[in-house]
Formats: sequence, C-alpha cells, structure tokens
Amino acid sequence: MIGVIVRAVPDLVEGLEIEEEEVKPYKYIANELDEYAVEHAVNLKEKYGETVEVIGIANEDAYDEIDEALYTAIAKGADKAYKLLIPRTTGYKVAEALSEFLKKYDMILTGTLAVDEFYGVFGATIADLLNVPYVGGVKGIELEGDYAVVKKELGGGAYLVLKVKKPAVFGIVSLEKPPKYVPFSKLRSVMQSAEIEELDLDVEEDVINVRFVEPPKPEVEFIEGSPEEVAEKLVEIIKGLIR
Amino acid sequence: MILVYAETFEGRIEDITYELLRKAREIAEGEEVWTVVMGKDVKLEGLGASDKVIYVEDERLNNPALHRYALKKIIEMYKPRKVLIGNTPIGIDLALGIMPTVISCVDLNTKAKAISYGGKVFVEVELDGGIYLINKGSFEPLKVDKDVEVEKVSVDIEHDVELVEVVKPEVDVDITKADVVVGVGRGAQNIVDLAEELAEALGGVVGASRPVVDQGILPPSRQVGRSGKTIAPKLYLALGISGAMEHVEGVKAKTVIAINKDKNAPIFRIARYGVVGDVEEIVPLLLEKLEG
Repeated sequence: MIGVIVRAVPDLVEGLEIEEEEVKPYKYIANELDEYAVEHAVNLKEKYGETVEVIGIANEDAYDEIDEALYTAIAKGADKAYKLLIPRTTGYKVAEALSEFLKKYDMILTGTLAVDEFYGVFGATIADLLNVPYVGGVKGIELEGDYAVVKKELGGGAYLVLKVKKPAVFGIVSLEKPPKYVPFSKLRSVMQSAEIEELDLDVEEDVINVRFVEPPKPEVEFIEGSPEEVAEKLVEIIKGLIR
Repeated sequence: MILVYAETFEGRIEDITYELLRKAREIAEGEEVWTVVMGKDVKLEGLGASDKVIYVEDERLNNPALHRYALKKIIEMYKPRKVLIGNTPIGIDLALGIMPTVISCVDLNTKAKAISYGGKVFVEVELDGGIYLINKGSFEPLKVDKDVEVEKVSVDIEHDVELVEVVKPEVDVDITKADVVVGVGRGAQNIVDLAEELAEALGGVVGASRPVVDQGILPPSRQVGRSGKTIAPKLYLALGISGAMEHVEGVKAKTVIAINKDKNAPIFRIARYGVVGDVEEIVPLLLEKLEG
C-alpha cells in the first residue's frame, strides 16, 4: 500500500506578507511536487494494482483549502484520503506525530521539497524515523516484487537507476508524462460521495529561532519606452556587451 | 569540529566541496575543519584547507544514494558541531533527521541565511549547530594542494539501495562553454524558434528553465540551474524566466538582461538590465534590429 503526503503551502503567485516572525500568505495551495507524488502513486495503482492513500497536512488557515487537492487525488484514482491539522510547528514534529500511522505503508511518496521548506527535509525525516531508505529527486518509479526501481535525477538530464528494498520513502521531483486531467464534473461527484477522514494525532508545537526578511531591492536598470524603442536600446546594449 | 561533505561522483571531487571548505575555514573559531570523502578510488586532491580527511574507502559508496547512511554513522562517531553539504541533487538527500538541517543556505555565520518561498523571502536561522545545505556559487572555492592527514575508516551501511546504472543524456550542445546564452522560460515557450534565431544571431546557444525541459520543449542538456548546468557566459538573455532559485543558482553570467511580464519576477534581482514586457512582442523586434 502506498501513502502519499500532500502539504498545503503558500500560493506564491498570490503574494506574501513578510513580517519578521511570520510569513503570511494570501492563499494556500497543495505543494506542486506533492501533487506529482500523487500522480506517480495513481500510475503505480494502474500498472501494479497498488492501493493508494493520500494524507493532507494543513494548518488552520489552509485546513479547508487542502480538501480540493485530496478530492482531486481521489478523482485520479486514490482509494482514500486523510487529513491532519497542524499547529505552528516544524516538519520534525509533524513527522514524529505521523510516523506511527505511516508504518502501514510499504512505500511513502511526497515532494522532494515544499516551497516553504527550509528547516529539514520532510520525506527524509520520515524515513529516518521509520528507519527505512530514502531517495529524493525521484522522477520515475517501477515495482519489482519487494523492490522499487527508481530514477533519481542528477541534473542536466543524467540520472541514477536505483533498486531500493521496500519499505522506503521517496521524494518526488518531476513527472515523466503530463498529469492526468480531472474534469470538473468528476471532481464534483467525488466531492459529493467521498469522505476525508480527519486524523486525530497530536502534533507538538515547535518554534525555532528564525527571522524572515525581504531580499534587498534589485539593482536592475529598467529600459522603458515603446516596444520599438526598447528593442533599439537593447540591441545597442547587447552589441556593447558581446563586442 | 566542522565537517565538510566532499561530493564525489565517479571518483572525482566536485567543485562545490571547495566552496564549502572556504566557508568552513572562515567560520571555524579555533576548531578543526575535517572533510569526509566516500567511495573507492577517489582522487583526493585540493583538500589542503582541511585539517584532516576522513576517507570512507568503500566500493559500495561509489553509489551516492548510500552516502546518507554512511554520513549518519560518521556524524555519530565524530560528533561535528556543524556539517556543511552542497545543496545539489546528491547533497539534498543527506538531510538527516538526527540533526537540525537548514536547506538552501546562501550564507553562514552565527546565523544561517537561507532563501525560501521561491526566492521571495530570506530566512535567518539561529542554531547551535546542525547540517547546512549550501547553494552552489555562494562562496569562492578554496582549493589547496597540500598534504593532509588521511584517516581511513569503515562503517556499516544498513540499507539496501543498489545502483543499477548511471544514465547520461546525449549532449547536443555544451551550454556551459557558450559566450551568449538565450534562456527560454515558461513565458517564452511558444517562441523557441525565435529564441534559437536570436541565439544564432548573437553567436550563442539556447538554454532553458526547468518547466520548459520538463515539458519536453527543449532537451535536458539545455537546462540551466541546480538540476541542470551552471553557465558562465558574457551575456545571459533571460526570456520569460521567473528566476526561481533552482534556476538562478546556475547563472554565473557577467551580465544578465531579463525580459519578463511581471515586474516583481525574481529574475530581475540578478539582472543588470530589465524590460517589463511581452517577449513575443519584443524578441521579433530585436531580431529585426540585429539583422538590419
């Protein structure tokens, strides 16, 4: 059975309010790489008949918003969805709270990183707590009996092919084929029929000594004018640079 | 003691290792700097900035996917205060649950400075010690050719992760050697042919950001960034590229010119010149004027 972890993260497109002690997003969405993990899991279900469960993780502000990603996962083929409410804490505490529950899976998939992750690597922490192997940067998974054969990206198109004994945790980085499309009508019918089970686990609060700051203003010189004028000025600059 | 993880691949120490050594030396206040090297037949060179090299000489460790288990043992054995690792596709898997870990660090002193939220926020984290995953290009390399004490150790590796093969792509063009790179981002994926023309007119090549490669629009050999290549051209012309950290880490250009619709796009933070506008409108005009 495969467990997929999907975290609610700030929607960076919608912008952020940066305060010294806190980053306040205007909106939350599911972490993109976690959604890729869902995609890999449902592909494995289609190919090998695996059962797939999805676990959503969200704080109070995102606790409703995570539902859409979980229903979408079910519409794509996941068998069950859970969600876990977390306080202001760190990935370590969330991993600790979840690790016992996660023991039922022989494979756990999640995004290699989340956009707001800077303290610990969540998937790796889970693997360490469960004392099972972890491979991140995974873009492909096949199954061979007690083993998963995964492609781990090295960059520049190079990758490792690794044969990993299950149970194991994999951090997903990309897809090998485009994600499945879920028509709205199907999503709506899933939302009416499927249930998301709330996980009653205690997640400890945790605070680290951290300060958020806005990066310095860029020192870029903006070239303005009509497109014609801009192009003319750019060509002049470019010619000066590559002479 | 400060421990530097030497990233190795196919017997060679990767350049990021020397960047980490520079910082380790700088922050070491009377403590030693050690470097840990893993694998068989690794060429131990340029590690003179360390006081000692721990060499886990083990053929199984030619598989970098096993390094996290060996590193865990080394940390338990020697109890370093800080561990410095490159934030690379290999390094990121070495985040271990046994020590607090800060990811995407761009600086490290009493506090670690990390970049997060897609490059939109700096995070300053204060820890007594931990694992720091440091972005490529954050520090100048410190490669010192000097004999250093090498201690060979062996460790148990508990987990079953077998390296089946290393797959390398066919390289059509080497973007790392080009004087001019025209970068194609999500915002320019409809005008790849025009970008190619522009690159040709400037005597350069076309590069790409991750999403464009993931969609199969350009091959992985063209990808610029953490999971691609590091480029060092005279001019990088970034078309429709937002400038996520993953991408800008691979840009060591002398001058960057960026064209993007969003005036708040992080790419403008590394640009010398910027244009807020539509690449589909501006690129044809550039071609016209270059050729005219």
